Amino acid sequence: MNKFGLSNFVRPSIFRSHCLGSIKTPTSVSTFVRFARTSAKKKNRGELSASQVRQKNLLSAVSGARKVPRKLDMCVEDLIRHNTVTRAWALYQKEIRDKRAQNLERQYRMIDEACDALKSAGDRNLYNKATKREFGKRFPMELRVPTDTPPKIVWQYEWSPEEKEKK
Amino acid sequence: MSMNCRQIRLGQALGRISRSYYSTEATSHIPSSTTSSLSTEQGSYVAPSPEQLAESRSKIRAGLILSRTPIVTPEVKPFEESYYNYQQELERRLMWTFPKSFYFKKGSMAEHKFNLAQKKPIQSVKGVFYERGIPDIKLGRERRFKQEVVIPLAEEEGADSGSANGADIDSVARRIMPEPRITEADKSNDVASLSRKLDRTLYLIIKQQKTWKFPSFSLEGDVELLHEAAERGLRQIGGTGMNTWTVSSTPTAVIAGTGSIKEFFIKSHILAGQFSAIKSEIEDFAWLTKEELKEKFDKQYYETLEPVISEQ
Repeated sequence: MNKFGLSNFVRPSIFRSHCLGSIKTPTSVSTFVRFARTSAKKKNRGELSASQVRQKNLLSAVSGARKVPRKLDMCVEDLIRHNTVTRAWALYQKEIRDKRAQNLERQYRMIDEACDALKSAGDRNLYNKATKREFGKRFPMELRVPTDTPPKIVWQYEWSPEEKEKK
Repeated sequence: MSMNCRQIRLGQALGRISRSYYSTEATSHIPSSTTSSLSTEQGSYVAPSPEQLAESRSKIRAGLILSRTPIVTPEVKPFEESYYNYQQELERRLMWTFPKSFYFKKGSMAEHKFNLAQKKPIQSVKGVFYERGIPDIKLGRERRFKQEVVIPLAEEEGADSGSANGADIDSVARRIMPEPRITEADKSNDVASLSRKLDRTLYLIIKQQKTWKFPSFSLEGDVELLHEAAERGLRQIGGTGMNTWTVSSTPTAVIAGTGSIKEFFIKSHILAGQFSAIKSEIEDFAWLTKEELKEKFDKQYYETLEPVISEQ
């Protein structure tokens, strides 16, 4: 985010007074210079494979200037709208972040409280083992990351301890 | 402080808690956690007699918060959806022209099909008035607007649209049909099923003596630890057909029960299998989300454990 509340993705060109609310295209032509044909002609010196050179030439067959869309010129109202949307999103993200941090803090205090209670509960071995640092603990392979749609078999209901031993 | 090693561990486990909250303490405690403070600590600690130990262990119970983590991503809220849509439109508008020559060989059938599928932009002709401004076309793309790339449909796609069933399930060319996010268990509101509310965390609760609670167990023997007791007890009441993973051996919460009994909660995830009540003392069990837990639980019980229960 820059000082205008815009992401780097779109930035206003405030330096030009005649287009007050304008947004430049994100890419500049100069970045594509290194893909220019001239370098490919110089006997590929082991930097790129033959197929990579071919792909490079295909992509740079047309100059970048012809592939870039027109600059996005926003009127003042649109720019205000854009800024509002971006700020609202940033605020929304902050709320989520704060809530999560706050909840983690509460959870931390609860663990702390539980450990103190366990310490005074009489069995010191229980406390020592429960607060021992677990090195190299990892998430199990079976734990899956959420996806947009569920798998064909939503849940594996049939499971036996032998299955774990097999692996 | 006595909490030396514990604080380091917890800090790690919590991960995203603000750094300033624990980091200074954690680092300052690292050297002492190894030997010195523990030995002095134990010097002042008088080991209890076996009778005292058994007495104090009988007042400790190991509770288990067994959860099924979400299977699908959370529902997208209306605000999020409109923001994502806006960003996507902006990105499309600022996108470079689709490099057709990179994907299709010139003069090939594939290129021809692709060309046919594309919408042709309006050409600019001299002396014609254009309401939306004079067209600016380069490489077949209207540069003032976003480019809409249409992917030509395969010929056979129309024919086998209905054959997404059994027979050709192994066929590479079959149409991909996403599974529904709302399952049968959701429709019938089967709370004993693990395939309900796929975008939420479900918690196992059991009904004993007409009250709903997280399962909790007493410690067996002289050396059984909290997480061991929780896992052992779960299998005693729900059968061995469950693959679970204990998050940590550290208790996540404590509740003071009646008659100086303390109940320590251990977190665990179910990975496969199911809970099937095999003990008669369990009147009922359910897999519920946070809101549903609020309705079932005693008010004070819920409020104490509320931060531990995930909202998502």
